Amino acid sequence: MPVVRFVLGLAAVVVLHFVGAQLSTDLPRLLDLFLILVVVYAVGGDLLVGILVGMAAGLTTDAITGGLYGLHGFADTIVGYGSAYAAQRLVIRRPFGVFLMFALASAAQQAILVGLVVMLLAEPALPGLTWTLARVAATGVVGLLFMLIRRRTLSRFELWKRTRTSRLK
Amino acid sequence: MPGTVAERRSRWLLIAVLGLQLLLLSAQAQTDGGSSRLEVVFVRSVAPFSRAVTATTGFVESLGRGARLRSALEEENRELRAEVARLRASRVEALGIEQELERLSIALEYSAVPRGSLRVADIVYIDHASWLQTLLLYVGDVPVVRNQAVVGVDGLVGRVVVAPSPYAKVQLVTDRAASVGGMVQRTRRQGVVRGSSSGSLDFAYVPLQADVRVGDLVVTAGIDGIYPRGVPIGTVVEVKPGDELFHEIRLTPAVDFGVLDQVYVLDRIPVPEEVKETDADAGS
Repeated sequence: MPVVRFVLGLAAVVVLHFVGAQLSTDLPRLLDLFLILVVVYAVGGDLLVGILVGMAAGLTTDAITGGLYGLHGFADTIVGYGSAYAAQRLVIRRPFGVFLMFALASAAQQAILVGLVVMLLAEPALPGLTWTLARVAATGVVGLLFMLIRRRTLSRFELWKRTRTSRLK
Repeated sequence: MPGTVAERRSRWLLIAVLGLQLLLLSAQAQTDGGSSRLEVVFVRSVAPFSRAVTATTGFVESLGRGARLRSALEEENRELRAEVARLRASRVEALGIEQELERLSIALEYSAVPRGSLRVADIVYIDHASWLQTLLLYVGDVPVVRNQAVVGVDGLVGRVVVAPSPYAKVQLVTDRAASVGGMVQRTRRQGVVRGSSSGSLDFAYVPLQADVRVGDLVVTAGIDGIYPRGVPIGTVVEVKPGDELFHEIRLTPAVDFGVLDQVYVLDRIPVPEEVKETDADAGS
């Protein structure tokens, strides 16, 4: 069931990515929805989930974007593992902490991508600093918004479930 | 680094996964970006989403376009209905004038030239760009004869020069060899309209003292035995004093030959050849 949920989530992200690309060609440059998905799954604290989700989401990103196949796969695997590792050791509840987690994940992903491109390619095309910073900030904000909405929805669902159970009793 | 068994397993898995991906990357870097099977699998999995999203957004866009088009069509429909109402009113007025004219003609025993009837013909080929300036029509089974006038919705098109049934070749009014008896509608001043190489028309033999202005409509005079009177030929766009006794007048054709797809062939009784003045008659 969790696998099916992840595949559905990944499919939704792919659709959102294409819709965003249709709306504006700059949107996919500004926001990595796949990375948000990876962090959302990794904050559960399961290292294995972090690795597998990171790899799957990264390779899907590679299938959509140009360049060497596996760049995002490699970077997102590390980010997934790192996020899960951090989630095991830290309790991140406050909005700024959540924002920082997504933003750092994005920054780490960018750093790994740049490192890989520099190592593997003779004439690497590196992203501009402004775009990188904007991407880090946008990922942080969207990730935070997603987590807040998710938390609120889950708590409302829990409340509804509890009320329903007490009525049945 | 110490840790639980699960952590250690995860770490080994991470190393294995990263190692495999690095191998994949370095292989691509060496082969200058060749595609691997893994990439093919992922691309094939993702491509249908792209197609679906593109198709959906295309559909939504077409819906929006359709809505905009619909409102534009509704607006155009309203305008056209208003114009139809205006035209109906003016038609009633024109019919009244026509009936009055008929009554006066009968009273004066005036024999007007029969107007003839119009027949729609499809254009098969048009050459208005080159200096030949010809038009080929499909006229069907009913034959046409040389010198039948051809008109469009906006005005004069030309005359039939060759009629190999079921086709007819038309000399356009803009042809350099074409000449039409024309007159300024406002003043009834007559002259000869000729085609020119630039695609415009020259209105010749209009005396310098004649009143001709830019914007005047020039119509057929009905004096050449081919064209009926009153068909728009063109509008005056330039009037200059000529070298001799006449104006140099340039017209822009009433018909846009670039958008023609159908024309009307005018069926009317032609002027018999024997009553037309020949060079021999003129000399005697």
